[in-house]
Amino acid sequence: MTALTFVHTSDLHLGKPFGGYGEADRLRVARRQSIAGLIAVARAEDARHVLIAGDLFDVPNPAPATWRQAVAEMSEATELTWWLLPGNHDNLREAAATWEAISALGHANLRVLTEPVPQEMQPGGILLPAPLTTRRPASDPTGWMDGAVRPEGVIVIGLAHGPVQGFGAEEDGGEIIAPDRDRRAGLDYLALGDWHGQMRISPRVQYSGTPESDRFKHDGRGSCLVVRIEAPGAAPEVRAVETGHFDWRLLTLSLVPGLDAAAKLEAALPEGPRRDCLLRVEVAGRTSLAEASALAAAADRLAPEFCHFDMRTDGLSLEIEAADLDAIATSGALRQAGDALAAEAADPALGQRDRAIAEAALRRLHALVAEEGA
Amino acid sequence: MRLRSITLDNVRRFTDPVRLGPIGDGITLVSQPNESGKSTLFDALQAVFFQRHTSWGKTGTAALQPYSGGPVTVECEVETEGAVWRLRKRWQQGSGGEAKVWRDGVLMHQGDAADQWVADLVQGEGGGPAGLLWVRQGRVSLSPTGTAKEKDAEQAGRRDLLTAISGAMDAVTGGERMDRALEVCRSELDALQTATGRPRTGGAWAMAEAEVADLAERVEALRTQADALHDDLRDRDRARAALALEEDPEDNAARKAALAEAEDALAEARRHQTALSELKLQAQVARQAASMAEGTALRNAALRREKAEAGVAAQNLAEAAEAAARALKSASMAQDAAADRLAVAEATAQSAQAAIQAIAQRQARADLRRRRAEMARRLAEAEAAEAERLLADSAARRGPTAEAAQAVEAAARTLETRRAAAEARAPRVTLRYDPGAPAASLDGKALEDGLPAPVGDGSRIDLPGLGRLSVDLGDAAGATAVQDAEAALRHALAAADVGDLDALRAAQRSQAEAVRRAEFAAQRRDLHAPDGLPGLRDALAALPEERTESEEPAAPDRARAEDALKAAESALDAARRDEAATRLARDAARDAATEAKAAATAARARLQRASAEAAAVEGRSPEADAEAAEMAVRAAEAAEERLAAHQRDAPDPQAAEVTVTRLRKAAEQADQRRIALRMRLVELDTRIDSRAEAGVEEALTEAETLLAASERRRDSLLREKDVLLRLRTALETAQSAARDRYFAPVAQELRPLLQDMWGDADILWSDETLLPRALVRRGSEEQVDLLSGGTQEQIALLVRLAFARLLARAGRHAPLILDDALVFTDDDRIARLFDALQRASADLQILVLTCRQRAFRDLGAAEVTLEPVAPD
Repeated sequence: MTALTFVHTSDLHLGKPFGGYGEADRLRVARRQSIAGLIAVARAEDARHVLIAGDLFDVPNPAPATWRQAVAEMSEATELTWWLLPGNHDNLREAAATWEAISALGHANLRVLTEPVPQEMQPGGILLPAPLTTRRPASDPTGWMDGAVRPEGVIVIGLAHGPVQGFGAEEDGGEIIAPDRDRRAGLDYLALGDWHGQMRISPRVQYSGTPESDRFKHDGRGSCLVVRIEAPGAAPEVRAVETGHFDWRLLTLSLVPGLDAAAKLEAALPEGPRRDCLLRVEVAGRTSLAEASALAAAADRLAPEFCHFDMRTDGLSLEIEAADLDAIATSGALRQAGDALAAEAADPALGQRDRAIAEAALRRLHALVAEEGA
Repeated sequence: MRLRSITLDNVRRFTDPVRLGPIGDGITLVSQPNESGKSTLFDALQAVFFQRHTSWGKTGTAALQPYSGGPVTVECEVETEGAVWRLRKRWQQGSGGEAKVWRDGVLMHQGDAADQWVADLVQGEGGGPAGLLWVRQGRVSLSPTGTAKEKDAEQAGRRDLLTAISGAMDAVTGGERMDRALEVCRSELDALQTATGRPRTGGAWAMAEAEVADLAERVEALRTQADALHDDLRDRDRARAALALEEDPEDNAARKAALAEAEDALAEARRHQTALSELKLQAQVARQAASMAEGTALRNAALRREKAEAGVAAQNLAEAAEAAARALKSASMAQDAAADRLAVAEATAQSAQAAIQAIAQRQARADLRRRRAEMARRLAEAEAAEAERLLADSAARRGPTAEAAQAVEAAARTLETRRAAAEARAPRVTLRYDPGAPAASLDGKALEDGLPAPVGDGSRIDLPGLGRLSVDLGDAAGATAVQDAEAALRHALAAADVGDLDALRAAQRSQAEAVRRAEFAAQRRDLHAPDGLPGLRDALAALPEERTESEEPAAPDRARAEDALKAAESALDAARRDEAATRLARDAARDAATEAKAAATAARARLQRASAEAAAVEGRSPEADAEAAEMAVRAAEAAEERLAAHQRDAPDPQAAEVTVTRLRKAAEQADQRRIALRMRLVELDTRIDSRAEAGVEEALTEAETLLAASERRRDSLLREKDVLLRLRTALETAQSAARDRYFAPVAQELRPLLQDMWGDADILWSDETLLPRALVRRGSEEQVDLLSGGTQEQIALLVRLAFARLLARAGRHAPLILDDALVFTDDDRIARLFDALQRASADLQILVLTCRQRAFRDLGAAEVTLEPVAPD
C-alpha cells in the first residue's frame, strides 16, 4: 500500500482587491505569489498533490490575467496534480465560464472538480469532491459521500468548502457541513475550505486556512497543511507550514486611568519586520484626556512604520478629571467650554454619537490648549 | 478722581496764565464762543494726564506752545483718595521739562515719579481712557474719524482702553488662549466647509465627497456591467440548451419524414384531380352523344309517320312517291354511312380517351403536357368547328335570298292556281266508242269510253282511222292568265337566279342545311372553347412548355383519336342535313295541301317529299334507332359512374396541401430558430469575452472596497467637521456668555439712558471692537455706522455716560469731558440728553465745553469760565 501525501489549502481568493489599504499593490502581489509558495511546500514535502478546497478565485469571472497566470504557474509544476474545487466565491453556477475556460486549456495536471464523483488521485487513493453549485447551498454538499462507491482498501479523501455545523462561518451563510462527515462517509481525511484561518474540527476534519492572510480575523501569516496518510484507516499526520508573507495582527488594548497608554501600546506591538505587518489596535476601557492625547500622538508616530496601522478607539471612554479641565483653564470661558463638553460627553440623555462628538471635541480642546502650553 | 481746577500758562493763545475753576461735582458748563480756547483747554488736560513731561512732539505737547515760544505749563488740582492733589507738568524743547505732584501743598513726586503717579492715577482709576470718556470737539461717533493720524491715535486710544481692562476680560473670556483655540478651530473648520456649512471647494471634505461620488458612480457603472455579464451568462446557458433541443437528430429526422410523406400525398391528390377533370369532360361528351342519338330516333319516327300519312295522301302518285323513295333511300344510305362513321369515331374517341386516361395516370409533370395537348386538341377542334361554321355560314349566305324565294313560291302558287282554274274550266270531251271501234287517244293517252277528259289549247286527239283532231280553244280556257303566271314565275326564277322551282327549293334546303351546320359547328366550337378561341389560345399559350412527347415513354396517339371522333361527328352532321331536307319537303307539301286540296300536283309533290323523307329512314328501323340511343345513354351512364367512382375515391388536395404547408413552415421555423440561436450565442460569446477581458467583477469588487474606504474617510471627515463645529460652538458660546457678563453692567447702566431717548431700545456689542455695533429699536437691528450723525453722537454720549457711571459705582470716579460733543442733535433730542446728563451727574463729574451758548442755556449746570490768574 502506498502512502498518500498532499498539500491541503484553500481560499487563495486570487484577484482580491485591497481598496482602502495604502499598500494594496503589495498585498495583491503577495496573494499572487502564494501559488509559488504552495509549490515550494509541495516539493519540499515530496507531495504530489495539491488540494485547493474552494475559492481559488475571489470573483466568479476574474480578469483573464488573474486566472491565466495562476493556471500557467500551476500547470508548469508538472510533477504536481492540482485538484481545484469550486467554492462559494467561484461556484459552478456563477463561475461556469471560468471553469470551462480552464478545462478547455487541457492541462493534464489541473483537475477541475465540477462533479461529485470519485476521482483517483493515485493507485490506492481516491478523492471525493463536493463542488458548490451555488453561492449559498441549501444542503450539505458532502452528503453524497456517504453512499459513494469506492474500492475496498483505499485511502479516501473528501474535499469540500463551507462552514461546519456548530463552528461558525467565515462570511454570512448557513453552517451546512456535518462535522462527523469523516465517520459517516468513511473518510480518512476531509479537507475543508472557507475558514481563512486554520481550524481543526477533528483529527480527520480540518480547515487549512488561506496561504496568504487577508483579514484581521485570524492572527498571523497564512499557511497550508501538509497531510500524510500511511494507509487506509491510519491517523493522518497533519502539519502546518507557513506560506504567508504579510503578518496580520489584531491587538486589543484595555486602558484604565493612570496607565501610560502610549507605553502600553508600544509594549504590545508585535515582533518582526513592521513593514510587512498589518496591525489593527482596538482600544477599550477608560482613560484620561491627557493619556488619550498621548496615545493618539504615539499612534501617529508609530503608524508609518507598518504596512498598515489602524487604531480604533470606539470602545474607549474618557474619564474626565478635574485636573484635565484645569489643564484647559481654571476659570473663564475656556473652562466653561470644557465643562460644557465634559457634561455632554457624560450626559446619558444624549445619544451615543452626540456624546462621542462632545468627547472628541473636548479631546481636541485639550490638545489645542496642551499644544499652546507646550 | 475728581478734577477741581486747571491752570494754563503759556499754552497757545494763553501766553498769560488762565485758570478754570473751581470745578464742582455734577455738571460744569464752559460755554464760550469759538476761538475762546476751549479746545486748548481740552488738549492741555489730555497732555497733563497722558503725556510725560519729557515728551515733545509736534502733534502732542509741542502743539501747545504759543508762537512766542517758551515752556508750556499745565497745572491741575484733582481730588482723590480723600486728598487734594496738585500736579503740574511743563514741557519745553530740549531737556527743560518738569513734572511735580503735591499733596496738600507738600511735594510728593517729581520728574518720572510724578509722571508715573499720574499714569497710575489714570490707569488705576480708569479716569482717562481717551476716546471713551473724553470727547474731542467734532467727534461724533465712537468710531475713529478725522485724519489718518487722528484715526491712528483714536485706534491707539481704544487699544489703550482695552489694555486698561484686558486683565479682567481675559479672565472672563479666555483671552489670547481662547482666541488662538478659536482661531485654530475656525481655521480647520474653514478648510473643510464654507460659511453656509457646505463642503469647501478644494477642501478635504469636498474632495472626499467628490471621491465618494466618483467611486459610487463607478461602482454603479461596473455593477451594471457585472449584472449584464451575469445576465449574458445565464442567457448563454439557456441558448445552449435550446439549441441542443433544436438540433436533436431524432426530432429532425422525424420532421423530414413527415414532410416527405405529406408531399407524396399531395402529388397523388393532384394526379387524381387531373384524372377527375378528364372524366368530367368524357361524361359531358357522352351525355351530348346520348342526347343526339335520342333526338335522331325521335326525328326518324316522325319521318316515318310523315311517310305513312303522305303515302295515304298520294296514293295515286306512285311515280312521285317512288322518286321520293329513291331520294329517301339515298339519304338513308348517306345517314347509315354517317352513323357508321360516327360509330367508328366514337370507338376511336373512346380509344383516344383511354389513351389519354393512361397518360393522365403518369407523373405530374406529364399532366401538364397532356393538358396542353388536350387544350391544343380542343383548340384544333374549336378552330375546325369555327372553320366549318364559317364555311356553312358562307354557304348559307349563297343562293336566293328569302325575299326572292318567297316571290318565286308565290309565283309558282299563282301559276298552279291558274293552271288548276284553267284545267277546271277547260272543255272536256267524252267519247262514246262504238262497239269495236279502235281506241282514240288524247295527247297520247287513251280516251276511256264515256269518261270525260279535259282538253286544252293545242290538245291533239288521235282518232284511228279518222285522223288527228287538234283543239284550238283560243283564250276561252284562260291560257293567257296561265301564260302570264308562267312569265311571272320565270321572272321570279331569274330574279332568284335559279332555273326552276325545284332548283329553288333545293337551294333553300341547302341554305337551311348550311345554317344548321353553322349552328352545330358553333356549338362544337363553344364546347371545346367555352371561353372563346382567343381565351383558349391564351390559356394554351400561358401553359409552360414541357419536354416533348418524344422524351416521354411511348403513348397512344391522341391526335388520331381526335381526328376519328371529328370524322364521326361530320358524318352525323350530314345525316342531320338529310333529315332537315325531307322535313322541308314535307312541310312544303303540307302547305300545298292546305292551300289547295284539289291540287293534285301539289298532292303528288307532297307525296314525293314525304316519300323522300321516309325513304331516308327506311333502311333504319325504329328499334335500331332506339338501340343506338340506348347504347349512347348507357355509355353516358358508364361515364358518369366512372366519374362518380373517381370522385368517391379522390383524396382532398387542399387538406394535403395544408399539411405540407404546415410541415414546411414548421421546418422553416425550426431552421430560423437554430440560426437565431447560433447568432445569439455568437453575440453572447462576444459580449462575455469582452467583459471577461475587462475583468468586470474584479474591477467592481475593487471599486466597492475603494468606495467603502472612501466613505469611511468621508465619514471620518464628517465626524471631524462635527467635532470642530461642536468645539467652535462650545468656545463661541462660552466666549459670548463671558462677553455678556462683561458688558452686563455697562448694559445695565445704559438701558435707562436708552429708554429715555428711544423707549424700548438696546445696544449690541461688537466681539471684535468691544464697542456698540448696532442699535435695536422696536426689535429692529440698525448698524451704528449707518445711523444718522445725530443718533451716532447721542449713542456715543450715552455709552460714555454709562461707562462713567459704571466706573463711579465701582468707586473709580473719572471725569467725563465733552468738547462740543453735541453738534447734530436737534432741540427735542438735546433736551432729552440734558435730562440724561442730569440723571447721570448725581455721582459723576461732567465737564461740558460748548460754543452753543443758547442751546446749552437749559442744561441747568454750573457755569465757569477761564479767568486770568492774578500774579502771586
